[in-house]
Amino acid sequence: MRHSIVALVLSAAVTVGALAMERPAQAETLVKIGIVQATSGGSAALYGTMQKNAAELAIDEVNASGTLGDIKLVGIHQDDGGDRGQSVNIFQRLINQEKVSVILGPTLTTAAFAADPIAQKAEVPVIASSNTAPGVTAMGDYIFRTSPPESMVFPGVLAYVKKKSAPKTAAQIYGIDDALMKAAYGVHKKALDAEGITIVATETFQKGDVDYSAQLTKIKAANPDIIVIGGLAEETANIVRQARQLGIAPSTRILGANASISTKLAELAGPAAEGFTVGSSWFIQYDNPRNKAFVEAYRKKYGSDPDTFAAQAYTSVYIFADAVKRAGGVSDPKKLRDALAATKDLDSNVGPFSFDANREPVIAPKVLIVKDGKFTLATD
Amino acid sequence: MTAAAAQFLASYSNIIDLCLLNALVAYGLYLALSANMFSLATGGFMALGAYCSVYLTMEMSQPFALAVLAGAVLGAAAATLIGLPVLRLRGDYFMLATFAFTEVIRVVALNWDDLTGGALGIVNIPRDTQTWHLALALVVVIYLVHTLRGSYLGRAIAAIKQDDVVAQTMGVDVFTVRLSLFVASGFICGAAGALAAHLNYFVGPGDFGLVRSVDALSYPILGGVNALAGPLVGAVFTTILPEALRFSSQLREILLGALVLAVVLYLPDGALSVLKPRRRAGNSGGGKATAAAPRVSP
Repeated sequence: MRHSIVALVLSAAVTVGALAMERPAQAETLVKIGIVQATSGGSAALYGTMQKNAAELAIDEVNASGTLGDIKLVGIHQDDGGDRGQSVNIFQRLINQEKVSVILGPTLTTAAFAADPIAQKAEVPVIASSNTAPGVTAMGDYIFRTSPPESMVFPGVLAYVKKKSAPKTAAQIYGIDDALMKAAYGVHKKALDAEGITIVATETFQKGDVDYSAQLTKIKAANPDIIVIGGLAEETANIVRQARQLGIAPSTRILGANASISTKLAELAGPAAEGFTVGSSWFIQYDNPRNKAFVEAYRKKYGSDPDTFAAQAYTSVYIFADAVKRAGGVSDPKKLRDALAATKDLDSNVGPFSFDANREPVIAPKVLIVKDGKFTLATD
Repeated sequence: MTAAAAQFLASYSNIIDLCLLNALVAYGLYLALSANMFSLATGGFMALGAYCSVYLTMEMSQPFALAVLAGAVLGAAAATLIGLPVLRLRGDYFMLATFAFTEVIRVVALNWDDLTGGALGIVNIPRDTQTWHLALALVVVIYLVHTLRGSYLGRAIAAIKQDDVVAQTMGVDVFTVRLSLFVASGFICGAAGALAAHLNYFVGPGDFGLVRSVDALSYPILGGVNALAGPLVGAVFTTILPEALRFSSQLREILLGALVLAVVLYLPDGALSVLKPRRRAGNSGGGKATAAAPRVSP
């Protein structure tokens, strides 16, 4: 009985404590930025934590630089645990209670489909930095993203490969139970068809698979000129390694999806990763003064290397700050939205950045090839 | 004052909706648990209800009420189909079979692109579910469960829970009672799936997997399966807790786990069992609670 009371009192105390923590209203010069990124809850946290870190870094830098005059940016991070229900809860509270001027995130596309309509209705701009599935910005004119969808990156990669080796046939392998990879598969297929490359084999895998020999044996039998993988970093690394182990010759070039770019890939795949080709808006050695400053500051503050999503989250904050400056504050949400939409050739860490008419990012895509265990820019 | 109330509602309406929805699911599970059926089929039933109702509202332009009803009926039909062979299995085997059902539905949803959109899911679903729909459904279900508990059938179910062999000897048709409860559970979960699908603009196969089934099972168990309000308390507690613990950021998951563990360890009959000793003082029925105490005391 005493134990029961202890348990109940404990839960009650925690709940009351939480309610008492609500923040009081702030002064007028503060501009609140909601950061909705998963920092717990499985693999989403891998991407979410880095984006949160990068966004907070950028907010500190903007405040320190004084470019916004007496406006001070305040980041309010909330963890949705990769759970859609929580993302909606957070959006509602950030918009109605915290009165944020913009929301950066959410981490997952599925969360975006559930939560973004709330922001759209309330006329609060959303800038996503890791949603790459199609249809995200189509939800409304307040929804932006700095993460280029696969369709903006892959055709450039394929054009490069075509120029280099003129492939006639291709095999595709992709993750069937992942929204991102399924979308990537569609994009890859369309691009291959457009280039007149015949698809001779299509194979699938599921999250958590580690042995791809059955699929790769079939692909080997079809003898394609190139292999296109729609998978995340870990899966792609395994597929690349096993493909070479099964005797698929290095002359058969392997192409990956944007989302597979990670230093981990080269590590996991080892020497088999040599020649692996992929397209991206950003990579860590990207030679640009703003990018060098970003990478250095990120390393200094967090002691690790940023990834592509982190770079894009960092860009988001600078885009917002620039729009606030041009709109002369955040009091008029329409004006702020229009200023965001008008972003053109902003000097950013991913290169000159613009939004197109559909609020999709316009960034020069870069073709990267693994060389000596590192992603390097394709030079010719 | 009304402005403050309006702001509160705007800020927290989704949490309220989720509490009601999860409570509804919890009662669906409560029915199964009341006859010792640890069902992991919840995710499967909800997926059927969700996809069926979304197809009806979006592709066939049918009214929302009809879509929810169809989702519920489909859930009930699936429960009948899997209940007939599977209810012969007991304990672990029943659990495995229901888990397999949920998994099969998930994999079918992943591969049936035309109907479900595959892994990409279905977007832009009309937001037809209103808070009062959920509240009404919950009230009706609670009333039915309350009536059931007082009826002859309710006593038969209680007897099965204690010992189904004895119940059988006393003339209770154990198989039929179990099947009816399982079908009712499928009906409620199917309806809940339909309501859930029209709440957040989006459904995907990942929404209704094993995690959903285990969560649903934990609501009535945490709240207590012996009290009428148990599932409600369990569902509301589990839904609000992650939000209430938000101030602790990184510690959130640890606190969440610790609180759930505290309830399971110190209140083995569910959170509502704190009320029980007083009611049952000196009664022989208190035996279970006292028997559990020495096991956990250090």
